[in-house]
Amino acid sequence: MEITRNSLSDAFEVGLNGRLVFSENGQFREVVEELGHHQGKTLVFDVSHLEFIDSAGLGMLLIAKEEADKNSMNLTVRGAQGQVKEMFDISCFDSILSIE
Amino acid sequence: MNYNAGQPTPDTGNLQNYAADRQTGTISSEAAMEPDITLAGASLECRLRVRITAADAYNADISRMLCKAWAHLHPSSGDYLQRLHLLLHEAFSNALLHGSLEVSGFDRTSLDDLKRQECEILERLVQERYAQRAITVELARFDQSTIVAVEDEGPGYDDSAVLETTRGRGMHLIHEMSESVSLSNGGRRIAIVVGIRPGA
Repeated sequence: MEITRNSLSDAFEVGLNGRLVFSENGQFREVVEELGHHQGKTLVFDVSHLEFIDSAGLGMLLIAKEEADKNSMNLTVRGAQGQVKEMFDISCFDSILSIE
Repeated sequence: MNYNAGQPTPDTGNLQNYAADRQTGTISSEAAMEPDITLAGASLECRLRVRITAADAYNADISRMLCKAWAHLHPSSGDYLQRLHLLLHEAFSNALLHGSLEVSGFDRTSLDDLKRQECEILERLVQERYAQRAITVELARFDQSTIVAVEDEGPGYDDSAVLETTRGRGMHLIHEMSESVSLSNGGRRIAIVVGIRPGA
């Protein structure tokens, strides 16, 4: 998985590209551990280039939500399509996270 | 991996390095535990069987490679292959992480849990007892469905408890996206019926 970061004045945008599965948890954890530097901003996960997510990947997004809450950040997930969108729909993720 | 002459050769990449073979006879002993869902009855050219150790499987995207191979053998719609891929991936991940490597706690969601799980996995991948456990995947195509069966050599677990409580999000998804699921061999084997919908 390739992860991009863009720190704006009011948002921390993170692009997730490729596959979000358990074996990618190391890279994902690094992003979550950085949230303390962006307190009060909106955390945006851009998943428009994410090709595949599994149940472990959904769990990682929930961890990010928990850590965002601790840092007074709102979390938005943007651009889901294909298999990723289907996974969000099946898991009713729109009731847990803000999905755009 | 041996294929019959004249059949298309799947683009399996590194899969050829693994101990894999097309099924040419009855189901192997590991899989013949009288499951509720059986692959028996599928013609031989409609079956695929792969066996891989946990150590080899961890850093390889087995489910994607297998789905690519399956798509060569049985062209289907993108939606169907996507569903098949996810179901195979979830079953395989359970067999690898829970079954073979005996790592638990994936239902919990904290950063510390993620770190602990990764540490446990890396420790066990270098211990022969866990790392050399084999995972067997079988696919069989029928007129109206594909059956995916995944079996590991871990300690197993209580079938009824698993089906009642499910094994985390992965099992929830498997139940949501498949037509039928059965567990056998003490929870070491899962068989999933993936229905072929019109146009698939």
